[in-house]
Amino acid sequence: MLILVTGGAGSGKSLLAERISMQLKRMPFWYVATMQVWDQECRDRIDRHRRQRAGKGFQTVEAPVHLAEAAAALPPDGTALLECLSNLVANEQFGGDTGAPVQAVLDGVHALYRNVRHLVIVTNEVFSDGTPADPAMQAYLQNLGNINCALGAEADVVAECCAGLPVIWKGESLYHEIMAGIFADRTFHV
Amino acid sequence: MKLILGGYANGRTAYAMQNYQLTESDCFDAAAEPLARWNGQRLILHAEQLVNPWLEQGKEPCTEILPWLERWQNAVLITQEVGCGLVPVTPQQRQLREAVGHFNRLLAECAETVERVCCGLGMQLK
Repeated sequence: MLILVTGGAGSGKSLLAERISMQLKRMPFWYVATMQVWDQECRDRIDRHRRQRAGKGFQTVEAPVHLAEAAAALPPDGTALLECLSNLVANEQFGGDTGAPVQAVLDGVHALYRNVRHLVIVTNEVFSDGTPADPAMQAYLQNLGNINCALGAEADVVAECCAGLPVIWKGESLYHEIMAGIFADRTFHV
Repeated sequence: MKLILGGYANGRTAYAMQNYQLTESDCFDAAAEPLARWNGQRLILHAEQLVNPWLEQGKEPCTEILPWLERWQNAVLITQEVGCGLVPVTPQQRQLREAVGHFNRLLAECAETVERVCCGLGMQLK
């Protein structure tokens, strides 16, 4: 099953994505981390998320770029939590070696999804602050927006997190099945 | 009139075209052409871009739009949500952001249906 979780900064989307992943009950749990570590602020943020995940059974895989290669190294089955698309797009657009960041990210996501049973993806709601004047930022938003739309169309469940509360854009009954612990695991891969 | 709103790059135009069986030839881009050139097109893009020119001319956008809303009773309007960032630096930008918020509220009030689009998916608000 493919699940997309979006939301603003500090909205609780990471926690929601973790809860969904764990409720799917398909071990092992892989946490696919995408952050490039630049400075202390990055390290603090990573520490905070690691503490949040501690004891929940996630094994961390680092994939700031070249997600497809990291995905290929995983044994099949299990549940992967990919956090987050806004990092991946930035890494591919500004630091990667590809001229096609949208395709690179989608290829990576698809490679990961082929290798696991369930994939929960965290993305970011950064689109409601007007159109940025800077062309690079405009391209970045367009890239992330295109990826969100492509994955929104493919996903079985799309949830937006608002002040810790889920707003379900797609797959409402499936979402409630999962969270109520009555989800019958089945194949969703197309 | 039907209103579709959402943030930048969220797939609003594709959503409108798909759900209302519209094509490129049905589009009128309010950001690219003066309103006087509107010729019956059923899909109005970038409604929020109407606000700034009116403000610059010292006109009230929520008044200026009214006769057009009369004409657009069978149209689908797309507007952008712009109010969820930090407070802009200049007074002009602050005034514009606020005015777009008021403008979108008026559009939503006049619309029969309002849909918000996120990740290419729609949710009916009204």
